[in-house]
Amino acid sequence: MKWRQGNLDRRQAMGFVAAAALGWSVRAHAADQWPVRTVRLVVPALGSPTDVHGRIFAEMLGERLGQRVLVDNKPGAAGNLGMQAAAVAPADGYTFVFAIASYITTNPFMYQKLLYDTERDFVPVSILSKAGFTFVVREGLGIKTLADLTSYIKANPTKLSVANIQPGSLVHLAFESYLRTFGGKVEMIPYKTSAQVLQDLWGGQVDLYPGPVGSTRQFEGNGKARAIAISTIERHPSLPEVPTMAEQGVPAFDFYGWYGIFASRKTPPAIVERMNKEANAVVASKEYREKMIGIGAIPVEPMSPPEFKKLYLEEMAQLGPLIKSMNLVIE
Amino acid sequence: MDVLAGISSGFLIALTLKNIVYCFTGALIGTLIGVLPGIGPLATIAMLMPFTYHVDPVSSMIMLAGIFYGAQYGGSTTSILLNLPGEASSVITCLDGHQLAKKGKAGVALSVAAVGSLVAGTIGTLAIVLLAPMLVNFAEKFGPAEYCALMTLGLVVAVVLANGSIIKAIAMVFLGVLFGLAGTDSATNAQRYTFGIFEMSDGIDFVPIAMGLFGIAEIISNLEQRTHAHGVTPISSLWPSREEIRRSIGPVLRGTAIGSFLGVLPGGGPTLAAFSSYAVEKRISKWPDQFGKGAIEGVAGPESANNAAAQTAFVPMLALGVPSNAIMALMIGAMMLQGIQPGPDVMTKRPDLFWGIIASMWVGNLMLVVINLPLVGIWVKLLSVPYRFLFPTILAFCCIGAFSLQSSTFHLLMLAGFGFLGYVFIKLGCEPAPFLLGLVLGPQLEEYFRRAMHISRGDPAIFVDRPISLALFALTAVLLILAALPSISRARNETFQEAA
Repeated sequence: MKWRQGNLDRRQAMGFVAAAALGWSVRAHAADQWPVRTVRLVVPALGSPTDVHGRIFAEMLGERLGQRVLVDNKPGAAGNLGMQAAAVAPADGYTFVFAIASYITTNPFMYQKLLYDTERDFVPVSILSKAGFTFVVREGLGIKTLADLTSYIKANPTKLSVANIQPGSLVHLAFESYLRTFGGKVEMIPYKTSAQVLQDLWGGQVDLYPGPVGSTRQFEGNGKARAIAISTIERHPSLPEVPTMAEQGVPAFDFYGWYGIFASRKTPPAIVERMNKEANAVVASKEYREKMIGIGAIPVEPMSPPEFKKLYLEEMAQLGPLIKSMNLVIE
Repeated sequence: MDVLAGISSGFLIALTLKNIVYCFTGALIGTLIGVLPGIGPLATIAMLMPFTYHVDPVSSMIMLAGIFYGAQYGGSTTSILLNLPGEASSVITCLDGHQLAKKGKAGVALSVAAVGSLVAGTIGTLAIVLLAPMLVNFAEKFGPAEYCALMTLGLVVAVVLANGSIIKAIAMVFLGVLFGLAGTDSATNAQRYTFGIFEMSDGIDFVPIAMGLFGIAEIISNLEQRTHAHGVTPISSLWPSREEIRRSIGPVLRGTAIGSFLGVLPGGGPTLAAFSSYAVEKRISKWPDQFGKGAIEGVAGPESANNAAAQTAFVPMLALGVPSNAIMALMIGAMMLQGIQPGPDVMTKRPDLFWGIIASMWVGNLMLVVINLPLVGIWVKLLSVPYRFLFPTILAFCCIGAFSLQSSTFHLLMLAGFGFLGYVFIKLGCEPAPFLLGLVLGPQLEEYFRRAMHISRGDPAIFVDRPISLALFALTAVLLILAALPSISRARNETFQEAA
């Protein structure tokens, strides 16, 4: 049943029944001939920065592979639908999934039921980039540094309204970690899109937005809001004047999401290795690194699959207890 | 005179041969996907984005914008001909548009929709040029309390626009709101009414519901009345009469004004604009009883409103980098891919992009009329295809559209389920339009209500302390009173008519 569904998905993604038929004969080919046809990259998002990132990567990877890399947008259910589509696809080295950190490091702790299991369904291939967050405060509160924010929250418990898109997101966890350094209390206001936050931040309805680095410039654009801190250990080239948390007295504070690719568990190791090599060549290229900075992400040093796995296992060890202590578990 | 210099430089950019070709391509693709139910501009723009990497930013944005507003034109076609809304914003066009088609006036409805859209597009573009800063500032005054008031007004409007029983309309709105509650709770991530089905965790998709309730239910109902199946009426005329043109002018202008304003608000957009325009026209019409039976105003107003909203939705995106809907968010993605950081400085840093796109919108609207008016004759001929061939084709397109949403058979089941529900509604004499508005607005009402209450820390005074919110609630109350006392107003109207 599951197998059939996966097959249908792939056929649809490639667009032609003919190409799918070709797929049957190809499975026997050795890894050294890979890839002989279009490679499908499942992106569990549509029309978001994640989608944009996926497309940049797919384009550049395709040039290296000499085959088209087709982005298959499968948004929905916090990444569940896209991850499932990749998990049930044939493990022939022609389907990869473009995952964001939360699918791997936080979803397993938040959801009692998931449509995929990282360990059971996937092998890591490559990490592509990281992306940090900024804390953006509206003008008018007199908050210009992290120290100002901390003393404001201490002096006015639960008075600060903080916009929160998706409880349990990495940026929510980052802000909660900051609050815990001094036991601060604020009111989290649920939002659905950053456009709504932008409007309310400028209009003075909400006071602070912990959000992605990529949208910071938009928020600061008309002088009605300012970024007071960045959540990563280093400053971001696109926001050179925004100091890190560590610089402002929260030692070793380093929160970020990442983008990476995964393959179905049973994918031939030789293909995973080759894909790692090609993806890492993209990651190391000047053009890709510049594009990453442009969309607010951080270029990374290429990693081997075991290094990548070590990274996310460490993150899980840190984030799991935090999520559990925040009562975010969903049945 | 910056504006004048800007717009003339914009036309110089938009009228180069290359950009005309891109604009035309976008408008044509938009028209086609608008006609095909289920296949929306969002998916299309996402799919075409890779082809625009190597095109210069202005041309690629001109094309992508063309797809978006082109879809607004195309969406009305199937609504009118087949009672099959392709987009949420063209649901309302079904009500009177399809009735006109049944009377043999499909051509009239289609051409009024096209010309109304052109007028709206032209005025909407002008509004962008002249009012962009003002509209944006006003949108900033819209906090959660104001949105909550606006949504309440919208839901009351849904009741007022119903043709039959008020009680049934209220029931349908509430039913729609209930269906809309399915999905993930935004404050806690809790799953509501999803029955463990992951496809439902982002709420029930609008497209299969709209296609099911309107298109599929209509087919079942038509097949039931086999004797005069489909009731093909000879086509009386392709073009509107002088009288029909005269009756359309007011609705087109009012619809444009409503759409231009609502388009700027994030989340408002073309759908709310179309519904509001319809309600306004019905309220002020001299022939309110014709609505739902083929009133030309019921096509002219909403079609203008949704196109104007589609134009002004670009205002926050271009002027501030704020996406007012998912498609605008995708356009921002496209700009970032081209190395342009969207934000308030786009207008000064890339005036060619800003003015080029705005000028191209006007060019594109003109092209859309040129594309669409000759097609009217062809579309109308579709209606003379025997129903036994037509209905399987419609079904096939609906299925393709529903499946393409997430390449999942789940949406096919939804389509079938809601088709049956729509048939039940027809049998019970309940109208699907208030249901759909409840479905669209209900979740937003809840979202904004809770956000407002969070911000006020639980004090409901937030809704009356803020002037815009208070005014909107007052307007809602007035409408409710008017709706609650139909007998009084009707009696009064009759008195006036007799006196006259």
